[in-house]
Amino acid sequence: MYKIYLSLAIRNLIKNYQNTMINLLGLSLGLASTLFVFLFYLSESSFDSFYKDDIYRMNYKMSVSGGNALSMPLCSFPHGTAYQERIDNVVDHATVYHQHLIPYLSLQKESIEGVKAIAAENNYLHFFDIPLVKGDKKKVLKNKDDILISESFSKKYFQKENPIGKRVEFKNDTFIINGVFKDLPSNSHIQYDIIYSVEYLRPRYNTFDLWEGANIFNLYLKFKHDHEIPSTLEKINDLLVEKFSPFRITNEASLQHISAIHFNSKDLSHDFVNTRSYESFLIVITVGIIILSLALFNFIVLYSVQKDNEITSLTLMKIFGAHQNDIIKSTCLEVSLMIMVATGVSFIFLYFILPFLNEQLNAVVHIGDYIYSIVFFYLIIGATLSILLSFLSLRRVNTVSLAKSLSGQTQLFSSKNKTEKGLLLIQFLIVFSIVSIGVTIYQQYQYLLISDYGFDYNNTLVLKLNTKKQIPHQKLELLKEDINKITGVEDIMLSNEMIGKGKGKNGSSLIMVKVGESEKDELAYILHADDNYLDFLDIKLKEGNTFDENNHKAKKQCIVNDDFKRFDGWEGIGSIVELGDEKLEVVGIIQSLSINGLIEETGPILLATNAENGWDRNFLNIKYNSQNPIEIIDKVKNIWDQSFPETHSEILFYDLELQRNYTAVQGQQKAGSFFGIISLLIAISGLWGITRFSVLQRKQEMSIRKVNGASRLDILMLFNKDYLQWILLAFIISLPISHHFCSLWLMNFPNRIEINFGIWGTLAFGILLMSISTITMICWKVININPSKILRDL
Amino acid sequence: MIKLENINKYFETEEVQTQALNNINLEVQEGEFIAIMGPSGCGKSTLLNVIGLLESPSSGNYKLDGEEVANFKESQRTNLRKGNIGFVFQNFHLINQLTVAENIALPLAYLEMSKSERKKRIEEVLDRLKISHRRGHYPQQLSGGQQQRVGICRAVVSNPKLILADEPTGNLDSKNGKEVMELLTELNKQGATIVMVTHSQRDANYAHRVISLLDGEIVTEVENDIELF
Repeated sequence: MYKIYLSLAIRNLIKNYQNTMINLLGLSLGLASTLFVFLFYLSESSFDSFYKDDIYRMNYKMSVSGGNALSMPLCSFPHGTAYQERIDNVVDHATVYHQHLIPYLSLQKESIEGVKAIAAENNYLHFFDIPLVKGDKKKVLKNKDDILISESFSKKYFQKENPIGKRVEFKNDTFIINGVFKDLPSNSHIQYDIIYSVEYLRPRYNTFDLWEGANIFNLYLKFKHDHEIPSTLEKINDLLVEKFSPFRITNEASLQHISAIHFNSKDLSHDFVNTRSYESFLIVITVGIIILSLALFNFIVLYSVQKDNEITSLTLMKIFGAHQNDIIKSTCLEVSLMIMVATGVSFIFLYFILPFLNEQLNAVVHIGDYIYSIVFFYLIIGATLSILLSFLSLRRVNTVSLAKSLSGQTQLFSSKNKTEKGLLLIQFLIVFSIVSIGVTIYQQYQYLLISDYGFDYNNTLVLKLNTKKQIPHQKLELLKEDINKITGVEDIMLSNEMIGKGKGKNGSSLIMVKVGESEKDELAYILHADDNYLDFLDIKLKEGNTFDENNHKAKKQCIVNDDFKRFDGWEGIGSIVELGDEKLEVVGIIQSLSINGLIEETGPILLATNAENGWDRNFLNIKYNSQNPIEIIDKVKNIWDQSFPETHSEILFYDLELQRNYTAVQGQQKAGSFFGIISLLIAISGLWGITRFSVLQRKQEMSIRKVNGASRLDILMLFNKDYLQWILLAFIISLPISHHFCSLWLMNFPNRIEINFGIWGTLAFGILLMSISTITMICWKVININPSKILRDL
Repeated sequence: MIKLENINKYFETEEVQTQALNNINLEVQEGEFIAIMGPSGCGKSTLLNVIGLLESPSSGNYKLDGEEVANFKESQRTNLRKGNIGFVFQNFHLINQLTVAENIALPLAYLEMSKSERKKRIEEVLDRLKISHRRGHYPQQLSGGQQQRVGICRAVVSNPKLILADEPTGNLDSKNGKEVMELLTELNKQGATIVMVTHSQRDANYAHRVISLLDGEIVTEVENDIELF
């Protein structure tokens, strides 16, 4: 019996190959996209859930009396030890120099670029229960030259060789590998290939052991009793009041469970780990559910329509003795066969699109981690579809008389039935919504790329001054002179910050200032300006003047932005800004300057001169007017190598660096386009399938119309009108929905576009054209058959 | 074998109720060959469907082999049809995706029968109806006459007591039609009870008794003088 069912199933699928292909295409695309979203959900929602103990990260909200506040997950080194010593409930802590990227690392003469690293104390491995594959946990990370590498890093660069005792060089220092740790799960918020000793940092920061020292450490805590955490937090805050009050800083601590870091850190500045906003997570999940619903709904309807054509076979089976179970088995087998093919196709498809989606959505989904979940996913979908469709088929056979079924008088979709139109409406509603949202994301991304930052970064190279020690002023001047001589170099400027990069990435620091007679502290970003800073970056002055040409005078001057106007004590140009022990006179006010990029708001900015013995110089900016910047880069590298042979040079294009700010937006745009195309393909396949069956069912009507004088165009118009009015209705309904979601998303950007309904209309027109082509293509074949043949066959 | 008493059948739509069978009383003896005639829409096929348990009567009694079956549930009707009633249709109703042998095997698939027995039965019936050479073909590769032979093979392969034929020659030319009627006659002679719906007086002449329907009612009942030809 099963042999007959199997033969019937295979031959049915082959006979209806067009429908089978369309149905399988829609289902496979839907399954692949949804499987990704399902794995994305598993991966994202399991971040940091693998720790046995409850671990909390310490976050601080720092504010000054003026009310300016900054929340960040960073503190200075002594905090952890102090909490553990002074508060009973704190049983353990780990202080970690935040995750960062080492640009170049030398390993046995091999140079490796971009290595993720942290620095930690000896207790780090114990605290996070990270096993060592090689080395002794008790001995590692105690000396300043200790370094641990990950198992995968070891396999990649040492293969079978034992890495213990091998030398690693970076930051112009040498480290000795004394341990290999097991790789972290991909769903860890913090990721690194190497851990070096925090002792290495101690001599490099004068304020290392001070409470108000460098805020560069993440602090993780464990508690004896979870129910005492609120009172413990109070004690921590009391301690902070005691330690920070002398510095006029209010520092309020809060605790974040480690499993909450991934989704709940968007309001934190200077968070360097892999986090995601919960809203964007929900959007991806919603898109996945929509696509799955679309694909399944489509599959069920198309398969049911196909089964309508095969109802005679099912009826005959019943007439000759098949029971309900037999019908179920037969349909189940056929559906299972289709699902097996769809499973294979979707899995292969997912395999190929996974790296793309991971990259665009900054996700860490690995198929290997979720084999059982994937099997579960396919089984659930397969079982649901098989059972549902089998019962639907059975219902069809059971609810109509066998005699009627046999005479072909039963149809799921008659031309009077609104089910197919309803399906089209839902499908195209989803398509229009996803495509409109996708195109808005694209427009916003494009807008960010061309938006005005308030300074000119075009034709600019940035040489990063990665040296072990601060380069003396005179040597820097010599370097500037040499580079200035290169043909094609127009201007040169030294800076401490790379403005325009995102918050925490541009090198700017927050300082406390007082304006005029006011006693109130305010927070402002400070930028260190070279003599030609404003000219070089073409930053326009709104009021006042630039710095005095006399260097001595200029050291007593500053330039600010409009945000200073709301500070107490502000009296316009000539106001005095108190900056620690220094008092600077405001000589100019600049126009809007987006130092944190266009995604994040910029606050008050203060520009001070980059005078002798002043600030660190981190960047040498080179303005060029050559068609061949690569040649200039080569020449700059040569000069750098001669001046600093022990240090790698790193030269960036300013505009490309700023584009990196929008990697996430670009990823969302690409992923949005991908899901939009998938949903469009599914909807078009649904339109194709429904139209095809409808046209076949209305062959008689078409023939009669033709016999009575209807032209081909008349019939095409009739069918197109029938469907297009529903597709248009879908577009109209989608407008407020898309507008709502796009407006919500755009609110995330201080610099944003206006929603362009014209482009949405153009897209809708394109989709309508695709639909017209589909309907026309299907009708055309039937229209051209001699009507007498159709009427005779019926 | 078949006893219909006061059988009525109504078809209802939202607005109209149509009476397809009106107070039908009919008895068919075992081994009899009955032809039902009448104009289109008179209720012939409905009567055949009621006899074949494809439709339930709206009212009345239907006894098959002495058992009241009018109110049988779907599963009971399926069990009763299985192996007991064979169907031959005007449009053949072969499953296009199955070969000749597979189509014939369909009624046997639902009978608990060994594979060898099934194979034997199929071979027998293929030989008997002289289409063994077509066993691997698909219906669309056969002529109309051959398709109807397959239809008859399928109807008789389970050795049913009752064969119901709904215009079995309706889609055939006269030569193939004659062959089909001779086949049915032979099956009748071998013991099968046959109830056939037809428009053709010539086909009706093969039957022992001809029943004429008009507007759902039996209007005449004529015994044929058999021997034919």
